[in-house]
Amino acid sequence: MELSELEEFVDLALGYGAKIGVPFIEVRLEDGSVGEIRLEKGEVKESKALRDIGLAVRVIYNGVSGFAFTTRLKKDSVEKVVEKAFQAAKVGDKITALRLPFADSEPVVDNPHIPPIKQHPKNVSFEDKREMVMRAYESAKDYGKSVASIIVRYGEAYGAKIVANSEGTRVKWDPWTVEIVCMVISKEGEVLADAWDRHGGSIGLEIFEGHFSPEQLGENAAKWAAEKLVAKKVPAGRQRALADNKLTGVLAHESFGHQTEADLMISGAVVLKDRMGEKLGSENVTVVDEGVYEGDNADIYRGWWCPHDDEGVRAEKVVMLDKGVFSSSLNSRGTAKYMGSKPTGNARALDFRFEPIVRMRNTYFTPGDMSFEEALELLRDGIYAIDTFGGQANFDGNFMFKAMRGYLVRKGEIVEPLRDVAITGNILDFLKKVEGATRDFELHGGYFGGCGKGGQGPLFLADGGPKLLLGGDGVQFGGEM
Amino acid sequence: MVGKMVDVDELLSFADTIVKKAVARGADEAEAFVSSDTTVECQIQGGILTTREGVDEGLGVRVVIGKSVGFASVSSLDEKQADEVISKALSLAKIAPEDPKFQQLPDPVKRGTRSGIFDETIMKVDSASLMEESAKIVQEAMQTDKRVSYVYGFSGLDYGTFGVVNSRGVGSGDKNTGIGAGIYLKAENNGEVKLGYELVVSREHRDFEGVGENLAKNVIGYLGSKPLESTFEGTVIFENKIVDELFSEFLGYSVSALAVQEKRSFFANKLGKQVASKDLTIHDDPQLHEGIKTIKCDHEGIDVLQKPIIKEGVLKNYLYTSYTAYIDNVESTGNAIRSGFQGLPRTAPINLTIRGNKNLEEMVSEVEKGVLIREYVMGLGHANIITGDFSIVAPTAFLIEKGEIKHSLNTITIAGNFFQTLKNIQAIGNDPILTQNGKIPTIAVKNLTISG
Repeated sequence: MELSELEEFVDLALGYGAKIGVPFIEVRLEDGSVGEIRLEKGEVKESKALRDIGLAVRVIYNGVSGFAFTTRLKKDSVEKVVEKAFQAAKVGDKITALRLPFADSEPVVDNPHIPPIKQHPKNVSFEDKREMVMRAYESAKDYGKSVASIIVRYGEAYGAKIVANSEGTRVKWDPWTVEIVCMVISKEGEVLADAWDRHGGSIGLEIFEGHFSPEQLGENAAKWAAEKLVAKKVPAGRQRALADNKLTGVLAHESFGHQTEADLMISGAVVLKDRMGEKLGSENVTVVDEGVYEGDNADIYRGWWCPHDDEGVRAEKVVMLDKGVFSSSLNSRGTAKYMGSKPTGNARALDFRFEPIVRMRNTYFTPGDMSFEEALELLRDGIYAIDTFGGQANFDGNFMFKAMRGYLVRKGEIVEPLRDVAITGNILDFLKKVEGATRDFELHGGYFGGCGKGGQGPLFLADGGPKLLLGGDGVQFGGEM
Repeated sequence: MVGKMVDVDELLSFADTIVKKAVARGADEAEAFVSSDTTVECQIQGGILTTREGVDEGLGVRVVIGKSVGFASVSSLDEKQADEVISKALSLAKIAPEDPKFQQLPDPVKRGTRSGIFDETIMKVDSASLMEESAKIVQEAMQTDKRVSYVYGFSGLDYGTFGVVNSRGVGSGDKNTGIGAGIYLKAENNGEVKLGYELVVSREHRDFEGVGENLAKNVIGYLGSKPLESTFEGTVIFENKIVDELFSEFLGYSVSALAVQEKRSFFANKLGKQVASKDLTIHDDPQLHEGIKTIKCDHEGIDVLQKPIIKEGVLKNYLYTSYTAYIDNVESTGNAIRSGFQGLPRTAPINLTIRGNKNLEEMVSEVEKGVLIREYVMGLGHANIITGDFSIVAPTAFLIEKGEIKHSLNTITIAGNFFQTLKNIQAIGNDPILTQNGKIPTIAVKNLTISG
């Protein structure tokens, strides 16, 4: 079935909603394809192709939403979904303590074309993709030391989406993302060391050449894992630090970004709930969330291409933190009216099984004007922390992130590698300590990973920034006695 | 939508047609996994109410040509879509490189197992009653104390069926019902903030009275915390819900035969060896009567097996799917679990159970110097799963000195190694809670580095 054939179900749902007297109905139809290749120890362990088609209906009744979905694309099932959503909204209307009626918005009719790329994953053969994965593996094997395991994964997702509502909005677009990850585990005696390199986003497969070639990704992961075999544990305590682009990206999203999501501000979940306009950080920090990144190297660092949100709203560029001042929140149509601001195009759903909630798209710290060398020189003595294996951030602003690796820096020079680089702190404290930013900028997204808010994960998105110099009395690094 | 359900036999007969078609079209072997699941959920987050309900159905097809395997799926039980999925799986298998370790899809294994609790009354619960349930939980918590400043309450139910058929004679499935409710809340006083959560799950219909109030009382009790301002080596008592997260994360990974065969598990070459304190016995019990994940057969259609993982400290069993079982020339332990029709089988424990004999008071009384940590910790999911090294942050903790709880603490950090932790178990509680991962008690562990 083609999307054009499926579009009749959108009209069917809208028509049925009007027939049973639904005041506002929003219909979303998705037809997504997913492909994955996983290779371990030189053997392709998994190759799979998934197709995910379904329909979502949301009804807004007196500012209360009702949501239902189905994978059964048949007339009676679609009508039942509309009834269920309406029913839920009517019951919710009697119970709820808080209403979020939609901000007024002109109907949006749009069908944005994807940015120019040379090789869309749907036009590249499975054999070629398998070849890329094999090349990363061979390279990791060549450069590795005491290798215990090599895992290479390729993932792609693409498809078509229609969002339409009873006000006349009808938006169609074709989101996509790809990623290659190479992970190497080295082992000597009882010491295990792991490292990865990866690249991805809404990019063409031609980007996996040169700097991001499978060979380079494999070589990097292998060399870094080998290096960690002999690395010392990070000394515990407060230290000045330089956080690299990937690590700052995660901080931008996890630690700060969620604080600015209007639904969390309204419900009182986050510490920034009533601090709009306050100066929270140093002059050197500006944080942005935008739907379509069009800056330098956008063909490489496009992150997640998100021209509209799942309410059909055009994606705006939002500056949440402007030179340290908390200046804007991220909004859906429901939260915008309550907050007295405008919808920003941040209402997103994981897939048709979920209703849109306020989510980020491409979130980053803006770059500064230092070179890497100048940043190390200014750091003097401290820790250069790189990339992350993940972490956690709480609504109270506290966070803990595990950098993938790091280096001890003395007198502005990199001295030796470190492992188990865990950083803890509070974002409000962190923002005040930023003494500067480098001018190199990266935005990282891709198929693997993503945000898990509200049980809707992993949601495709991207984050990034420059390298940030963290001074003051330093940040807290973990470690054993 | 609510109250009706596709039965297992219907799914099995559909799956059987798919398998026959795939073989007729050139597969040496084929397997079809079909499922139909209904979900209804309601959440109230700081006053914002949302509901969600729907049916999720689909088909996953695994085909084998020689030693090459292809997998494809679609979110539909439509015959035309199914035909496309077979084609896609076949074309993937034709171009996929051989997996020399792959031997065959599983032959049937029968062990006389039974299904878990199936409660039809859950199928009649609608979104309206879940909304009332969630509202009640939130209200209870808010009314308990005015220092409760934020509440997120939710409830949900699900019921579904699955069936799996392969060309070697496997044809089995099961059905389940579940209901649950949870709450996450924040208490604030003079700028101090403490958080807590509770999640109650059941296969049988039940109400959730008291859940909100109990949690609110606990979290209020964490207020008035003081800084630790020191670093020392001592005993940590991990509350059961933290143990649940810690053990399911580390054990689930390490006892997987795949991780062992690929030498990325700490437990490789340790079968039959002492890996934990003599006091520790852990089972994987897929037939646990009240178990949330209790099933008759796994997602490859293999009857499940009750087995010890660690018995009196000795590592007894790895967990197998058919793929890893044929490599080691053993029978699958029935631990092949899929994330749904879109997923290939992965190795996972079904219900982890641990028994203990001490109540919390006794456990506290045996601690010279240490902490009791409650609610949740941060950083577990990102610990080093291979080496076992972890460094976690515990925002809700109490200081214990000379066998007595002294006072609530500000956020502390705890560093250690999971596998060393197994050996350093000091006491196991008699307070297991039923979770998605099994039935898990409170555990006290000595010699951990505590700082704050």
